[in-house]
Amino acid sequence: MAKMIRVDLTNGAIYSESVPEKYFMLGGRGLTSQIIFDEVDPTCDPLGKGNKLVIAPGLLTGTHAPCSARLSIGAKSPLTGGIKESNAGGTVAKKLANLGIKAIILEGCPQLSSWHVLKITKSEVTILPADDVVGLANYETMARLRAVYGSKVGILSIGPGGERKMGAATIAVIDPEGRPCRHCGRGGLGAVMGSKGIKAMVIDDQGADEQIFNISDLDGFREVSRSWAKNMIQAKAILTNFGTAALVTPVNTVGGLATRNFSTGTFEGADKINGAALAETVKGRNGKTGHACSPGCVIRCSNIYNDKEGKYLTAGLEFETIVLMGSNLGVDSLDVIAALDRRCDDYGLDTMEMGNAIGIAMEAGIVPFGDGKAAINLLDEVVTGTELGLVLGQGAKTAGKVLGVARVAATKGQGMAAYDPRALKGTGVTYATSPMGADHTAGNLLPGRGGVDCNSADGQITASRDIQIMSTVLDNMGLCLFVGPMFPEMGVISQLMTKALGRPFSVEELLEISKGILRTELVFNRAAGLTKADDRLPKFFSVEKLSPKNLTFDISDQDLDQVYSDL
Amino acid sequence: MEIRLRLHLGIGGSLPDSRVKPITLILPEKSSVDELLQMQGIPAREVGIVVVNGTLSMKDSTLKDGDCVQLYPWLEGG
Repeated sequence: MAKMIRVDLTNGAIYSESVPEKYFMLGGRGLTSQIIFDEVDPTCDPLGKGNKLVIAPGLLTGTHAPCSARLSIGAKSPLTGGIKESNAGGTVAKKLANLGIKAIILEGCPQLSSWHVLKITKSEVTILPADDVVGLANYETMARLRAVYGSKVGILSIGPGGERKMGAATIAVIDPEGRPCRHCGRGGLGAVMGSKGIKAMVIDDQGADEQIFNISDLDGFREVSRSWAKNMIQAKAILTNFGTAALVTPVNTVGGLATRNFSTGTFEGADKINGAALAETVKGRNGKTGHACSPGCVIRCSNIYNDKEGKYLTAGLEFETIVLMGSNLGVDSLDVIAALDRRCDDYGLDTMEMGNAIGIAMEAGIVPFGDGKAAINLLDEVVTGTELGLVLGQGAKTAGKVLGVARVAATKGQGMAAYDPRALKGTGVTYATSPMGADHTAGNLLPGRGGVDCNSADGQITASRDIQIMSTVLDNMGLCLFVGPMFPEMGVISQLMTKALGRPFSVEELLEISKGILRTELVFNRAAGLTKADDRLPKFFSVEKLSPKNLTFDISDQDLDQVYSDL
Repeated sequence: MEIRLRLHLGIGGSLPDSRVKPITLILPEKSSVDELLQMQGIPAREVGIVVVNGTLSMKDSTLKDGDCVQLYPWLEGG
């Protein structure tokens, strides 16, 4: 029987609860958003006792479905002021599913400042003192916890970013090698975990054999899963070979690669940081491409990146980090980008928010574009706690205000992903209208997707709406976005659900659940005080032409308001 | 007519290096991208993005002398 674990940090009370019937078809983002909607006052202070941090594996996590081990974490975001979900791979989601835990809800705040580790095993949930790990960065935190609780445990932790309750703070999720390389990175959720006084969570599924979602026709479900996995191994070979860095060259070609704080759309050093360059560097140093970040992944887009001496430096170096900490800073060195990525993983900071914030500091003239060493120093300042570092750690919007920079690529207070919306207009529509703010995971119209020309305004409203709905389907199921948020994949998922439920389950039913999740999030945001004015891109995207193609974001406010008009 | 072709990210079994020099090809006048794919033995289903002279294009678009064609596979990611 699936259950929910509730921990009240105000008094240390722990409850094991049965799952309400209405949550039956929800998992991942669907469940985190619904619980927040049901239990959290939208006007609450994101870092106060009224907010709740909800952690949920996807609906299909723990089943035979390939790529289904995503972990969703949600709360009211200190960055956007609205509802937030951020998901990651790693090993924790599957362990929670094995333990039969459909959600963990952290609520309240400790009355005195104190730090704890929450430990969850098959037989008990305990709150332990965090004295041994508080103040440590993520690598050391995870290493010490593994030494105490065993090398196989799942761990979530916050670094100095979360302890300082910064807007860019992440929650690190342990990867299969025991490293803090997967992150629920967006929206400052690490700060919410910090506000609850939880430094880390240890999840030990030893001896556990539960499920959170029962499969009615197990043989049928396995068969659909097996054939889908086989198909994906072939179809996603580019991601296996090059990782998401494969996108650098095509996005540069369509003129949408965020460069020097979103001031141009192509980068002269793109060939030095693209998929081919990354694969060559990784392999030449005995690192690894085709690394799986979570159990059951057949796409394996992750990598292990060694330094020039062949010594491990970081893992999971991917497109958003490569662009926002590369071309967006005028940096064309993968080694510098990898060093920045390593620090962000360790400090518990979002590479995307920090790439935006450092780009803004460069535009302000604090350090020059292209100076990789200076970028590394700025990141270190976030942890040493200089005034500048504390400003940057609060993210792009705060950095822009304090440093007097007008060009701040953010919506709803969250720094943009690495696609310039003037060249990838459908992605721009998603940035503007998604209840999540400017996320790359909310509905990303990559070049060639959705049957539209990404440089043209035509058809982008419908294309964005469709892909936002389909991306939400994947987020609910716990499926990695890279299985594809498109109609053919929706067909496969409806087949899986048909086998799981033992009754026909149509694509339309699947999309209806997803629309319901989006409606819930939109209503929460309105009640939290977000308005149509928050569903807009910063003005400079409409008035400053993006070279070299001289593109502007030319989709009207009226059209943006149509995205969810009939949801 | 003469066109230049660059194959990216393993298209048509190309080397996995987008920094390779473009291939120069002689094609009949008014050939389309689709016809180019057929002549080169590249399965059309492998091709997700067609870029002609730096601009996004379609597989049925007609080429002209001097065009530079870049082909990318379907892409996922983010």
